[in-house]
Amino acid sequence: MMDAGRHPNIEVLTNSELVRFEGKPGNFTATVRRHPRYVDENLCTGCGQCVHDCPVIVPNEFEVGMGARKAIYSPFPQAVPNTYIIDRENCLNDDFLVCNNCMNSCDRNAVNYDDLGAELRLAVGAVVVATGFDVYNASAIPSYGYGLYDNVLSNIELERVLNASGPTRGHIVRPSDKKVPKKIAFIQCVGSRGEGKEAGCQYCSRYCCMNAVKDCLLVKQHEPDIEELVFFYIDMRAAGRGFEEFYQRSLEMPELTYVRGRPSKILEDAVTKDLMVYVEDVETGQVSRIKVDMAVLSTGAVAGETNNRLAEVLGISLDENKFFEVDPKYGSPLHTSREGVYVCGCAAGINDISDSVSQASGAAAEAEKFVTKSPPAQEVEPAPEMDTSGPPRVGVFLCHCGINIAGVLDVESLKEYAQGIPDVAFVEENLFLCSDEGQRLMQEKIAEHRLNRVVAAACTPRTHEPVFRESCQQIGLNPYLFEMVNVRDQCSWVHTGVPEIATAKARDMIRSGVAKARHLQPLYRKSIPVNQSALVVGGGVGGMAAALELEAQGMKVYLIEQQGRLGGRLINLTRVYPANLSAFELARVMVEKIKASRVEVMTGTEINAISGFVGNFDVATTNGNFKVGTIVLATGADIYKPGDEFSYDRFENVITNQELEDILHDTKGKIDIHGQTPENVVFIQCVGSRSSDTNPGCSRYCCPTTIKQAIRLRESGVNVAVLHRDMRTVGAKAEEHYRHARELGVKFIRFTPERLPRVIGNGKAAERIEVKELALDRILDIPADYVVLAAGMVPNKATTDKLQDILKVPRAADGFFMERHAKLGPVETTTEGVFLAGCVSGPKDIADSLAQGAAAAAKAAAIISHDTVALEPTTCVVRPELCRACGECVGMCDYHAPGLVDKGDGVQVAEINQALCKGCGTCASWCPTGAIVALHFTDEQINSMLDTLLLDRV
Amino acid sequence: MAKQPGKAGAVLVLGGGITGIQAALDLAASDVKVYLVERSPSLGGRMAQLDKTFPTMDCAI
Amino acid sequence: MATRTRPAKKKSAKKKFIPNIVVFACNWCSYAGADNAGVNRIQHSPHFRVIRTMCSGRVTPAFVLKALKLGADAVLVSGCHFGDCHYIFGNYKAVEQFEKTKGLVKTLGLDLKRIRLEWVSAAEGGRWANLINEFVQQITELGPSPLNPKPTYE
Repeated sequence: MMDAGRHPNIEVLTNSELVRFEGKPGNFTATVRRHPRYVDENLCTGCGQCVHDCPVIVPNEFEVGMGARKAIYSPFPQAVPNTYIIDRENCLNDDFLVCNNCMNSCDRNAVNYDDLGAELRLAVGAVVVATGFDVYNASAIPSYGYGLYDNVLSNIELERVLNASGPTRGHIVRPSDKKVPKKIAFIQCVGSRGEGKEAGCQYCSRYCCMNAVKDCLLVKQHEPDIEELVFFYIDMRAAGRGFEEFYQRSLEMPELTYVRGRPSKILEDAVTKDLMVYVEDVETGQVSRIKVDMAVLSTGAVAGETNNRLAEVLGISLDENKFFEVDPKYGSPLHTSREGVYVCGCAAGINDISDSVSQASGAAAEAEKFVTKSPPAQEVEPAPEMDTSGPPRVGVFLCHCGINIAGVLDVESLKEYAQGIPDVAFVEENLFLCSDEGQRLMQEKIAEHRLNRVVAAACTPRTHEPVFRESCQQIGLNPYLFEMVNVRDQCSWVHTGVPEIATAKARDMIRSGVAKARHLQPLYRKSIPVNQSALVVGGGVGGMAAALELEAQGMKVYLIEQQGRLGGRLINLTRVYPANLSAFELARVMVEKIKASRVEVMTGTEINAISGFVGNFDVATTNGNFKVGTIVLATGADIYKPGDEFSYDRFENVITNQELEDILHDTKGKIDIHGQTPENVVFIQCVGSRSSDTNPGCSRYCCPTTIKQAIRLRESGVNVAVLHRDMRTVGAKAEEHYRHARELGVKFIRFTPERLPRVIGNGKAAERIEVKELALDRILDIPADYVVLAAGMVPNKATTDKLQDILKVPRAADGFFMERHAKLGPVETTTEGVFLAGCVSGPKDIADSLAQGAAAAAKAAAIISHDTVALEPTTCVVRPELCRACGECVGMCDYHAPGLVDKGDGVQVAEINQALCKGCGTCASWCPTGAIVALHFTDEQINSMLDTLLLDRV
Repeated sequence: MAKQPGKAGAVLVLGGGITGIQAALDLAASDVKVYLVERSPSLGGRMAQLDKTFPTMDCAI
Repeated sequence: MATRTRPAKKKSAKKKFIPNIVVFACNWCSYAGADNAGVNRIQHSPHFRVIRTMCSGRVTPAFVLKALKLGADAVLVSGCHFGDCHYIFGNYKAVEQFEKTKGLVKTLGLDLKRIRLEWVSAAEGGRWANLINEFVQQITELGPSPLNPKPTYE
């Protein structure tokens, strides 16, 4: 979030909306209306004095009404931009009174009641719609009493309650009496998977199951005395990377009870405000009343209320649920009905965070095709670097930050104190050091007093160090000779009531900052050349999508496929849900496009070795060697091959869903298997998934696939039963298809892993299946001409082993490649320049694989669209004279930056590849001889801080 | 990469939540100018409201 | 090397001991968590001094020992929660380092309560404040380190 606020290529327009849109892809004109904020973003420093002085208190929407804010406010503490805003509906100045408190309190004159906003006309080549979703308003279901009963909360309200900076500071108390609840009910599918009229949407909102499981764990963490959590649900939809394992962990929590059933109503005891939940447990058939202290409703996600208007302005269509409609002909979830306008995340339907992030990167890749890229404006040529080799002359700059620092700390005494610290040549104070005047003053004084080290005692380096460093650089002082002391966030703001102790602490902090500064050394950013081409490994959907996107951006692409043809698994499928596209057609179109493009396709080719690092990989294949700057891994996954499960190895009429797909592939109209039309077909779900023996995770694709196949069979008159553990129909339109299957008469019967269905046959073939019907506690006997096993996805062991060995990309416990971040970096790896697309990082459906292909292309393009890549200089380096080549550093670094190199005469020494090093400094602490130096955090620097903090105590 | 005449030099991203920010950052990283338009007064969207995300329990901000 | 234990200096009857605690905080989570406490104005004990490192894995046993030998009453090393590390597994390395530190602190003859390894995320300002308060309280009760040449009193 911070990064977006600071990036020179991104102009953030908050409090703004699109009002007009016209033109053609590549040349649109967008008119954006910026609503008035009444506070100037360029002047406001976020000091908070105006908020303090504002007399109006209103409920805070960020805390979903549970907290309070003023009429002038910042939406939440980490808001970007960190500029206050006046809510004119509640501001006194709008009424007959004239308050003017905020205007009078602002030192910077940032408050302007006459702000009228502005209308901006922007020339853009493409649009990405990422407007997200709205939360279902649970008060539409009167039987749950949301909004009527004090102790019925929504899941979003609970999130805020759980947050340490939320309205209750992270304490869970029930609203009616502020007591810690002993027993809490979690109710799923509120507004989702609706049956009745008032019940909200029909689809599955997807995020709520795992969100609620997470909340259960957090509630227990926050309030260890909680006695019982009762979790009411229909199906547990833990369908994502690591989700099933997370759910399994929750099953070990003794306080958490799962009850399968949707409560019919909640009633409140008017006196005690306790709640009674009425529910029929569908597993036992028992109807019960459960008394709880508090209930949390998992409210579903609905289309944004502004979607209608936005669709009209953009000239794109909405689907029946008012989400932006995805053009089905691409198979990918990114295209809207208008070329040049792309959609991602929950604006087009419900997606979880990691899929949304993949789609966002994918949409970026699509949009890039319609714009002219311009290199970022070159910064002004910096002044020649000044000589800093002499003895340290430290300048200390003390920031008041309005009253944020100076209101608590005695800045005058600090100034006097700092003047007495050894090597301090100059001390100055300023009202707002980060302001333009403050920065200019700092620059002048550096030059005037020939300062060669600078310490700023101000706010946090995490936000402001880049600002100060840039000012130093501008006047020729190496930016790494600057040190920041955080006397605001970590001193004046948190020790407000004890100004003298806080000032003493600030003295220590400044002294240790100066101590470090005296030992700072100039460091220099290096840049290495980039080979502007990409390697895509794997010719399935993910790989083909990545290759096509990169090629469309004008990049040189090598596409390697182990098999003799492109198309991967897609070519063997019949129809792709939800749009019922022909899979073969989709694959054929992509293969044709690749063949017609400049992508260099190498089928029947294997990789022998890859060496190098981001921007410079050397690739050796069975078909020749070449260099690339970036690599996309899209080698897919394998379908689990059952062994003796459900007598698969014994009976030839027990087949996998893949085998059924092959049969359906060749079948038009009536189902015909080996010359016969089957009467009864039974599906068994989760074969090779959700099991510690095979893949502990959910394979995600199989439930929707089964539904698709079941509908196809049922429409031909076959009796179909599906035996499952939870129906996880989480993809686009999958829940609707599930409903349709039930309406057609497909039977769904649940089983538990403790009591698996039994396939009974006559020695040669399966004849029937016995399964325990949980609700009625009896054994069902179902005839079966065919038994179809929904086989899960497993990692392709040979390929992943080999690629892991070659590229050192880590794999997770489930054997799939590990993403850089499960949520925020789904297509990145920890190896810079190496990306993932599709099932190589866990099971995905076709739409998700296509989105990931585009996403990986966007990431790869960001590297190879530049001819150099800049390296941060705060890395680790080896002092060869101290290294005894023990190899400790080589084994411990997860980025494989250190390596042993031969220095001739058989002498080895460790060397750290600066392109791979991330600068964490862990190897420096690991090195037994102290040969490794963590630049900018050296032993010398840290030791000098310790020395002064502990020896020079006053 | 060669300049493509006749095409605008920027992309409009609507929505300042996690997806909008991600799309904007990816575009910006490829030297594309981005206008990131958000209806509310701050970036952040829904995710900023969450306390932690599963399964890694990272903070959501 | 001081391997013997000295009894804590006789406390003044009236004056309360104020511990001197050194905190190593990783840049991405714990330092940010401390900032978050600030942004939310969550008040907590001031009796600690922070040294920022990029990763908790950077904190060698030598830093902790040096702090203790120079008279720090306690040392806290704070990093990201597991799975949350900016450098993937740096905090696991911090655990390994901390195990070594423990052994060395034991040979110094110091109470192991004087060193702690904790995880605080960037959003956990409240947790940071609670942790600091609780640790300061614990060390106050424990009294000055026997290696502290001039303990601070109120």
